[in-house]
Amino acid sequence: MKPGTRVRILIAEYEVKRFFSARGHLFVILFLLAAIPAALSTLLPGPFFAAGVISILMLHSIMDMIPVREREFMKLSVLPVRWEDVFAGKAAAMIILGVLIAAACSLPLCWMLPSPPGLREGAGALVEFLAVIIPLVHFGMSYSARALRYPAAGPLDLLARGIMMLVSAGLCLIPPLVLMAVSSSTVLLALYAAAAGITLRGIGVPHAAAALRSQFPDGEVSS
Amino acid sequence: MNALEIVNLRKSYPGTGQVLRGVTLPVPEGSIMALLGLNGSGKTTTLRVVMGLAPFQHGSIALFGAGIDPPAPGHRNLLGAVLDEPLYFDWLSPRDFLVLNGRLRGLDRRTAAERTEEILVFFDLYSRRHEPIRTLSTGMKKKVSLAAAVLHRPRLLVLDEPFEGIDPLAARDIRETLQVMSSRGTTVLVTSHILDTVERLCTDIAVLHDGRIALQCGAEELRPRAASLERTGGGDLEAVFLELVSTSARKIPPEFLS
Repeated sequence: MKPGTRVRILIAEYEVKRFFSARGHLFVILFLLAAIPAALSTLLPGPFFAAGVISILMLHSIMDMIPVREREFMKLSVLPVRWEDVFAGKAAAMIILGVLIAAACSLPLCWMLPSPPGLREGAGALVEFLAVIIPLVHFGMSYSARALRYPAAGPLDLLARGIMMLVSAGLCLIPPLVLMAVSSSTVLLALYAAAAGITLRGIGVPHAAAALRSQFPDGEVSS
Repeated sequence: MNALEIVNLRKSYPGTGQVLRGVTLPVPEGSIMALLGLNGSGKTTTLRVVMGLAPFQHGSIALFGAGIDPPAPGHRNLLGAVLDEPLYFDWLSPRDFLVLNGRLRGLDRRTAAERTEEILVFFDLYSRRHEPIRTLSTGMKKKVSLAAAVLHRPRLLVLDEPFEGIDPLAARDIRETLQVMSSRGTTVLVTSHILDTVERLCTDIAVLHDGRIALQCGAEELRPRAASLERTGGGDLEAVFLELVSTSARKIPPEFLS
């Protein structure tokens, strides 16, 4: 395995572990309770919509500040790692976490429905979710690499960031909604999600790494 | 060969003027060099520049013959560091952090795990290996930092005040680790205000004062100098150090304290 690939995998593992080690995330239960009537509502695009919103809400405190942990960069800059690999690992972790949470939240919601959706609907929902969360990760990463952000100062700060995240998510939702209106097939949406992934890896990650490198040196080339 | 060769290093911070005013410091390979100085004398800045964490305006730094600006491939793995701020992720356990650290440095999973187990036992951290680092004592955290710095067997170990804030037992463990590593060829550059420990541990001494190296010599060379001060009430490293850095007459405590 190439050193850069190993770094990306290790950082992704680290982020996922970190997320699950924080007990504060148990507040998802409250969201789940609120999401049950939402999932049953005919006003929303589908039963998985509520699960997607919960997932984004749960990740909001870290998604828009992906490269930021308290003094994290100082800790990483003594190691032989490149920011490109760190960001790629973190972005992958965010997408994996988002899918995991959305899937976990979907199960009880689907169970509440009179006629549970099938595998096909589930796959469609996954594509829709990816089409939103990948641009959202791109947006959050680019923003926070340029203006280094730190853990929320208090509830108001957290609330403000949550609102900002929902607004960002709303903006990221527009292209998928337009594509869904144009075609009922998920192929177009899948292509959009794939293009978003390629853009994130090919443009978003290197640009964010370059922005951070001007503030914090990284290790030597590890790829 | 010198493990580290600092030549005419100058560095200033915006608004605070020049911190380093032409530091020249050759650090022989295999030595344990103490970099001494008063608070604010530029010791930490020097170490951060050596680590590549802070840019410098003038001069050159070579690590095992290769310049660090830009760093040569493999540069980061030649170094291990314990800096004045924690370099660990405190929500992780010592075990998980050390394994992650080793793996990010290129060790395979098995080697990283084996070395981690060994070092945890040596530093008496084994029984606490699964607890988050943030719950450990200051001394234990220092040991975790040192363990992370040595896990990949660096050729140059840079330590910023590793003996401060820890108990004598932890200090002894750290001292012994450094002596063993030095005997196997690792070079150590260490800052400390605990001159007793420095005297017992280090093979070379450098004193940084007013942004320059005011003294650099071997520990043995220091003895005649200290002996000459004995006549005036000195006689040890502390006396030599104070003689070099004292810029004003000895202060008299306020009257209300006496």
